[in-house]
Amino acid sequence: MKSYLILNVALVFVFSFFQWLIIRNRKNRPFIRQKHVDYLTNYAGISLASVLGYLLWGGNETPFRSGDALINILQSVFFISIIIGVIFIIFLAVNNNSNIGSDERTELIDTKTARNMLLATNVALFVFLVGSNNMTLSRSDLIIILACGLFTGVGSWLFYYFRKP
Amino acid sequence: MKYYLLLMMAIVLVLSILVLMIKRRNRITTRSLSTKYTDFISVTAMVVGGIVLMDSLFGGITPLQADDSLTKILQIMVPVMLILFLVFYTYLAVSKNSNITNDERTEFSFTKSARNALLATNIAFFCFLVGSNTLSLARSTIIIILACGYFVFLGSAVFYYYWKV
Repeated sequence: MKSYLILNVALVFVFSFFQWLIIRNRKNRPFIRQKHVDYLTNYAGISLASVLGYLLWGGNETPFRSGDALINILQSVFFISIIIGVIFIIFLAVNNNSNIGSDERTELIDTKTARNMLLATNVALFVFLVGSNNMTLSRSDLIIILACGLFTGVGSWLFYYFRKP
Repeated sequence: MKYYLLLMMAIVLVLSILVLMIKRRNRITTRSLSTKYTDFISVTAMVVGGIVLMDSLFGGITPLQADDSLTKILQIMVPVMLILFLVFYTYLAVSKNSNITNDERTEFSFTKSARNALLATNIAFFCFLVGSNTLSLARSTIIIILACGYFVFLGSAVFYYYWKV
């Protein structure tokens, strides 16, 4: 299953290479607006989604606890969110008639989203460590902590996207 | 030890309220102490992260692993770095001869520092999960992951302060 994570890293690099190619060759074409994108936030989100996906489906050798109904719900919600997110990004990329333009505030949206994700992750870590006696985080704890950050990120991004800061 | 955590949170909240009250009364005349261009969400994220890191470093009843030399180094480094940063920040606050003024870019520097901290934390999560067989994180691992984010935040804040975004 380590190969899954290594494959993820490779995919990130390939994705970056194609982004660079698109920027290089499509500078004057508004097909995919790449100018005002905060790439560091994108990489943070991709690595977070990779880790969360691995925790949710990857490690079969570590079973979930018996009462982890929340984790089972998260498995479904995460999968559906990924599909909806990909469709939404493709729609934004190919839709030239969008009324919402891309400017410096678009980059700020990504940066503020990352900040909110960090706050949510740290608050979730705080809550779990207050409730933990042995100061360790199990697989289920990690999933909930990272999911807090990821869902905050998705919510923030949508919020800021439709109400520009 | 949980009381210690709650006490620290209470102190931070009281200090924040005091700062806001003093600012409202216009008692702070130094421009560097102005809270107008401070990104409070980023600061709150790092305060919460710092409390979790401190609790992991000093507050746990679970002993550190025998070969945790890195964690022991961090037990010395984190307080030293924090004190140095506070001394530096206090110097900036009381120094009237600073050539660097506060404007909107100061707020962006906080936001971008939080973004960089998130990226570092997520990459550290990623790296540790690649090396983990049980998909759980021990106390020492949590310390290293949080310290990565914390050092990146402090470094980014200083970097962006002198090289405004």
